[in-house]
Amino acid sequence: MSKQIFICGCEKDGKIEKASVQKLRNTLEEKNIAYTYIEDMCGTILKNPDDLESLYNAKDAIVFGCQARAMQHLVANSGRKANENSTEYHHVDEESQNEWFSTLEANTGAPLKIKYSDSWKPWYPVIDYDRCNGCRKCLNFCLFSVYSVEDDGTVVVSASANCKDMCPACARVCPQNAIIFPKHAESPIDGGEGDGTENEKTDILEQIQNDDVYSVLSARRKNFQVSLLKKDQFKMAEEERRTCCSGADKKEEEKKAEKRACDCKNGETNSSCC
Amino acid sequence: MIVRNNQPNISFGNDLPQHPEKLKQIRDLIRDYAATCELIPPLQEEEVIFHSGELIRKHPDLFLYQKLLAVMINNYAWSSIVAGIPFNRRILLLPKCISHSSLCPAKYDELGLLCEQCGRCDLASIIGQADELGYHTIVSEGTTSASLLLSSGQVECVIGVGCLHSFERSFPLAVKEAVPSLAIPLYNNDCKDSKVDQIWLDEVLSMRSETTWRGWLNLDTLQSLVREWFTADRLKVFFGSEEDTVNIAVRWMETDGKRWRPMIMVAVYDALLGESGAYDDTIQKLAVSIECFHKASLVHDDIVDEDDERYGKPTLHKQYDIPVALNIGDLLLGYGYQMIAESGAKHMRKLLKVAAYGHRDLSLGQGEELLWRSNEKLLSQEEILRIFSNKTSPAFEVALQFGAILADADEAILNIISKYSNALGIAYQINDDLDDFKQESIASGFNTIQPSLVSTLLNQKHPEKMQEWFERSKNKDESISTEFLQWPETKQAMKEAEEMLHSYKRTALKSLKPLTNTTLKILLTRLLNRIVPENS
Repeated sequence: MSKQIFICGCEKDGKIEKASVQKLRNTLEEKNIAYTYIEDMCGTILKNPDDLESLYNAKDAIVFGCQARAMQHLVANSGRKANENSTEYHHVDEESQNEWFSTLEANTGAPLKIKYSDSWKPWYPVIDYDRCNGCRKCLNFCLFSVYSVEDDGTVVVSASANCKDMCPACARVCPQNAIIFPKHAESPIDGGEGDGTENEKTDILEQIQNDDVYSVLSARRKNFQVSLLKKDQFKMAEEERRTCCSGADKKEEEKKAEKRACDCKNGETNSSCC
Repeated sequence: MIVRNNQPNISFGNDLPQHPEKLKQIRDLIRDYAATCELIPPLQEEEVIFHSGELIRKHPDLFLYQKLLAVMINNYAWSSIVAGIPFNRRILLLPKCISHSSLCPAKYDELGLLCEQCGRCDLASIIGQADELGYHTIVSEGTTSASLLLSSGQVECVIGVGCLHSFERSFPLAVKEAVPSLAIPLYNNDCKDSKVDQIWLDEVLSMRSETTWRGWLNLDTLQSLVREWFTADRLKVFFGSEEDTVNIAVRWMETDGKRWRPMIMVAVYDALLGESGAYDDTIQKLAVSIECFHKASLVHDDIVDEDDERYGKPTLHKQYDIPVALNIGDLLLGYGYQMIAESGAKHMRKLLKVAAYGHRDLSLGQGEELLWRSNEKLLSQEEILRIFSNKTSPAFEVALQFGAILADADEAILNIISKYSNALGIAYQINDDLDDFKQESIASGFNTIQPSLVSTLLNQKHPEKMQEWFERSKNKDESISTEFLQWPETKQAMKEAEEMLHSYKRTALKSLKPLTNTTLKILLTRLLNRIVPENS
């Protein structure tokens, strides 16, 4: 049995490259491989969940779109997909795409489209229940009651539409990094793996509770300013390296600039700038 | 048509005028209004609502801005105190949503955004200005940081910028902790690319009076300072004898104890005098005398309750025997009165009277409880509240009154303290009672060894069932201790007790309403929250 292919275009204020999506669609169409194009899965799954019946029921499916983890939990959160069905999720920019396509059967038909025509931008959290430990920090944190608790203690996203566009604050609060905003620009909040630094928790919250608040805040400010300074120095060093390694024309230009600088000194000979 | 009742429909009160001139105009209105009534902070929520209702009655067009009015009234009440707090003791809390929603380059730590002041949003200039003045600035999301700071008990002043939603959440905490605080609402509630009225913010940030307000007390520092009066060496000087019996008493005094009561006395004294730090022998002797009464009551209580351990160590009558322990308790009572009499305090008679009344009431409360125990009867609500009040309130009251009397407080203040202590003591006992019911099994809570409000409430509703539990408990049926806790009616009674706890806490706070001394009002508000913490 062949795999069913789905592509999410993340069209509503999306974050994935339109070109990547188009390239993928072109490839499939060239090979005449059937696929279903979902304009915006986040939107449809919330507004018209029935439209995604074919995805929930597909025995064997591949979904291309944003971060795999984001899509996986987005679909899982809907509670509509049967567990026994296998679904793989891949980012549209994933490099191994071509390998996939070679395993697919060509000439299976024309593409289908699932539209999302609502004006609302589907910005809301998705919970990764593999990570969520039910601590309810998000519930207490959100000012707009997006979250609630079921009778069995499970924290759920119950009022997605209350969520404020572009506000991913609860995801940062989550100690388990279990909250995903698929449309967020940065990893790991978008469901990506992150660069590891997000897990480097400082003990500043503990310090505030146990030490003198004012000294803790002063130290935090100082440390940050030092790190900014270091960052600036690093940037300068990078720039210097780039200029050093750049081509001959650039060197020429620099020489000219230097000369001009010398000239400014009004003919003073043996100027130190040379 | 809309604002008919006392509490205007809140959904109409969420608006904020979008022009700085209009905001300024309302601030001026509030200033004029405040001149007609005295606003002594901390104002309780219902007071703020009352005043905003009054304003709306006078200026009906303001009904759209009910929440804004509440914020501004509260600000006004605090303004003179805040102006007296040095900039470097103030914390400026800015909301992350002012930052550029897509181009902000900043990273975060657990406290909030680490602004690089890149200039893409207004934060750069606000932080620049605050830095120059010496503020500590935090840019945070939501109200987590605010809650953390407010509940740390260490923060002396907070200037918060945020949406009206977030204020609704942090306001109750700011009131409970009585932190001098000013709030400036954002123009919008959308959580992104937010704007704040810079004119208003400037006004608030740069506010500073010539005199410095010294009324904020660091209770932790005070507590550790007071502890130094309870080292063995210091105590030996106060007790002035090396006899074996005295040595036992000194050791009992020295070992453990949070020194709450002596600290409370000193804190009230400081608050009324508006300064802190210098404590002569008179004050130290009185502090020790208060602890003498307290420690004496513990020795006697442990004997009566047949407790084997206190502070995780054997109780005094286990270390020695009951007669020795009884005598040490009596000795401490004697020393307590002696230290007052020899303290050289100005109002010695007043102090002695307060101490004696406290001693008497405690014994009356204890007496009623002991007689009830031998009667094997379930108590009525009225009886149990009287026992609670008599048993616990005096200990707090003596400490509070001592501090006030030492600082030459007038009769009006002493009366307020009396009412406050009564409610505080009952709240403390209800809390203690509830703690027993939050355990896995309940050995003492089942109204046989200790009087319990929860059991009393149950008894009012289900006298037959309770009688049955009671019989089983008398027959040493051990399964009862867990079974009783799991009874749904017990849970219900606990809820009722919790409501009563809140109501007594409110009564305590209400009793402070006529206080015109801001510093004392702040202190007593904070103490209530420390002695009877929320959700403990």
